[in-house]
Amino acid sequence: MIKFENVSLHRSQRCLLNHCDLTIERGGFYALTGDNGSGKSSILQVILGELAVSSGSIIKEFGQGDYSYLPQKIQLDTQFPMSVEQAVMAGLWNKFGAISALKPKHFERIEQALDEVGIAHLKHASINQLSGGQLQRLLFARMLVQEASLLLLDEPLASIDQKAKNILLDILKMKHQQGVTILITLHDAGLVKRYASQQLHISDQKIRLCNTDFTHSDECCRLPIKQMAC
Amino acid sequence: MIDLVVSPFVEFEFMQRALFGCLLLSINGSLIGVFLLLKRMSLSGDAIAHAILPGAAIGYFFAGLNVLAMTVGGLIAGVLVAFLSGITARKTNTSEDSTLASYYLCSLALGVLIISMKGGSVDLLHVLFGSILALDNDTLYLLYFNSALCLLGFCCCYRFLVMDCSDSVFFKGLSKYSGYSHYLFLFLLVFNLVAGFHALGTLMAVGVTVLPAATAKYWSNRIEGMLFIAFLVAVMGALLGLLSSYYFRLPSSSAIVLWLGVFYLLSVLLGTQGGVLRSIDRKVKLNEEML
Repeated sequence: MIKFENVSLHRSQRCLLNHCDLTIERGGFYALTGDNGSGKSSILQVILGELAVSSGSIIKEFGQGDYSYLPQKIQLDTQFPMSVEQAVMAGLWNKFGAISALKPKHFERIEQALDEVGIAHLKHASINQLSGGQLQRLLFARMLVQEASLLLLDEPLASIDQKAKNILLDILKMKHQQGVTILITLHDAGLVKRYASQQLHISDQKIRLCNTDFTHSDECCRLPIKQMAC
Repeated sequence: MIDLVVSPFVEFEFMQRALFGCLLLSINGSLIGVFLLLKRMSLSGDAIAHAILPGAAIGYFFAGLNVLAMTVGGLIAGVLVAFLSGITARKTNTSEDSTLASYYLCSLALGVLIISMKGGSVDLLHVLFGSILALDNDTLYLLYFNSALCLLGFCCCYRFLVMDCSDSVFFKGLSKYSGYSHYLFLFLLVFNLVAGFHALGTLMAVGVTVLPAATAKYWSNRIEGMLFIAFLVAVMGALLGLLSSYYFRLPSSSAIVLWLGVFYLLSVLLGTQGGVLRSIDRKVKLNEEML
């Protein structure tokens, strides 16, 4: 689905990837791990086309609207005068576009998504009344209604409690079982092991595909399932 | 009392024209102002209002106080400054507010220079403060056209603008046209300000755009509510401003903007969405509950 071929990547004159190959298969649940500044977010930005690679090529078998991206920093303007329901509605853009009217089934889908993430009771609340964790749940609900085939999530669990983390990761696991490809950056080795089917670990300008049974230290990546050519 | 309000508009055609022009500007101003506020571009609106001056001045230089020439000139100057500041910010990795501030100041200075080369202080006052009490047919047609264009633009792009304002990063992933809505909005803003300056002048045109929206923010936490309240406030400001101007011989555009300022200050104090008194009241109740 996504293929990096001999890719090198630099950011602010610092080398993040040095001649790396990487294949992300359709339907996989990949956890992207590595130290702070190792290049996890940059890889997601390369996949999104927001960051150009220094050399090499990338083959992407998805188009605009096929993916949903949850950035590390919440980009939703929390002071925007809209309700939780309206914010989630944005995920249905591909179904109603600029002019078409929303149908009852769309509202039902929004309600269902809010229920799945556990904030259905806040449907009519303004988004500026939500806590950080509730806001993150809202963004997950918006992602769910979008029904994208590829989910890219950049440390989406940083600001939420353990219970919410489990709820949201369970939702991701369910989406994975439905055939959705997931690439998520995570720091918690326990969560990686529990939820992801494969781990992509970045260190020393290299990406290695590791077994999620190992913790994400450099040591684990000396025992990869498949060593990517770096 | 009703007679005091109605009679100036019944008796005098210039007052009817002024009120009609203000109503047309209120429709556009409330729509554009609310999105300016939500995009956190209120001061950019002010800057662009000043930036249209050299274009209008060049139009004036060649054709005198001709509506079409000044409109086309102002439009070109406004779009040019908005476009140049955006390009400079992106190419030199600086913030757009600093580039816009730099370009608009140069533009304003150039405009004043051109006007003073040709005309006298009366002409300069016309450009800076408008002539709402002397709207001719050409200016009214321009205001009609501006309103029609603005309403059409917003009908087609309302959802684009809402999506872009609320979460541009997310919207970029959904639509390849996401970036265009911003440019369409900038064009409508410039056109609205150019049309507005014929009536209220470059200095006051932005007032009827920004102040009603800023007032509405204190009364509604939904965008639909904000748009409706902003329109009502703009209409009330125009009506009271024109009446004050008529009875107390005040400059009309200043009177309109000052009334809008009064509504804004009242809303800061009394507004249900973050108004000062409401916040104090909430704190007192919270303290009482804790005790």
